[in-house]
Amino acid sequence: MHEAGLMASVLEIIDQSRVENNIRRVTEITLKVGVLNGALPDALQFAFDALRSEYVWLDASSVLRIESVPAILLCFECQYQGPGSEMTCPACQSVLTQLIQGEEFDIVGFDGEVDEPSKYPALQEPLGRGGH
Amino acid sequence: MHVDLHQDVWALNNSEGNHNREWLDDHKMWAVNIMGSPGAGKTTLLEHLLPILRKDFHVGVIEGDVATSKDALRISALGIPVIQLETQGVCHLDGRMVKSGLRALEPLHLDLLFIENVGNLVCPADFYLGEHARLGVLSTVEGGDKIVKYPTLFRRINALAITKTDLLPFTDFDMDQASKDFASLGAGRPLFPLSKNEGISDLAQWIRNMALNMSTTEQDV
Ligand SMILES: [Zn+2]
Repeated sequence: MHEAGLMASVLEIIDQSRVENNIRRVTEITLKVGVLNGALPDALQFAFDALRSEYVWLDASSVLRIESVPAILLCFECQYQGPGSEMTCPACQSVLTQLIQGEEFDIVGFDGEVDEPSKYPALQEPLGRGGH
Repeated sequence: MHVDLHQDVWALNNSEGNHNREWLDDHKMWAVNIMGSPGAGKTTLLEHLLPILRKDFHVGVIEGDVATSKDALRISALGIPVIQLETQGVCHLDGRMVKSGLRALEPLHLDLLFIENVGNLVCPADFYLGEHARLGVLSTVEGGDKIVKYPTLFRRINALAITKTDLLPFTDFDMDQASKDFASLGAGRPLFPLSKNEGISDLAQWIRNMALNMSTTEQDV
């Protein structure tokens, strides 16, 4: 399965954003995963647990939250819009349909603890930049 | 502190795929990604297609394999250039791996490229490699329920080859049902039943037409 590689990508993306936001410890990560996506929630959770020790900004209490997104089908013939995991419209049997959700794999965001403010205040914006 | 990201994880691989597609188009090379279970007959299918298509094209193969080079050796025995990509245990090819394969093939000036993906019905479908078309391979001995069980792959292919149809009398595979199931996942895509002696020229013709028109299918991942 490819969940380990995907989870590693997720953690790399979060690591970058964490540094930019001065976050020392990440407490919760939220993913949105469509039910028709090839990535399985259980395997993602397993991969997260396997990888967490490789990142100092994660610890045993850090949580992975996976929001499951149901599949929604749109029919171009009868305008049906609703549940459906196959491409045939459950209302009129047309195959002129399109999945409008259910395949996504998004990092929604994360929660973390910000670094303690330094004893030494950060330098002010350098003079001479910007307007007034 | 809460940080909103709203970042698509697939976007990372898709951008690699997009780069590959640009490279292929610049080199006027048409590429088809072949996906199916281990043992579905992907390499055997290539062994039958390549001698036909090499009459019209400079053809080459990228072989994705978890660990061995057995399939690549079968292709090179035909005198067709083949690049072996060992995935080191990974269950699919991704954009970055294929990029290195393309670089290795560059001096050969190919115009038709087959990418045989790792044998797997789940993972390869999620990774866009930059290919122009995707061909699924399903054998009658795998059982008729594979299409409904693994809809993602069968939804994301442009044509389906059903191999080993001479074994139909010995399996519970129902060709009509398979064809209905396949159509229910997307209309208008051809299905090629293949036996030892039949069907291969129709499939070769489909590939030839697609490649000559440099037909492009939108990436749908
Ligand atoms: Zn309908």
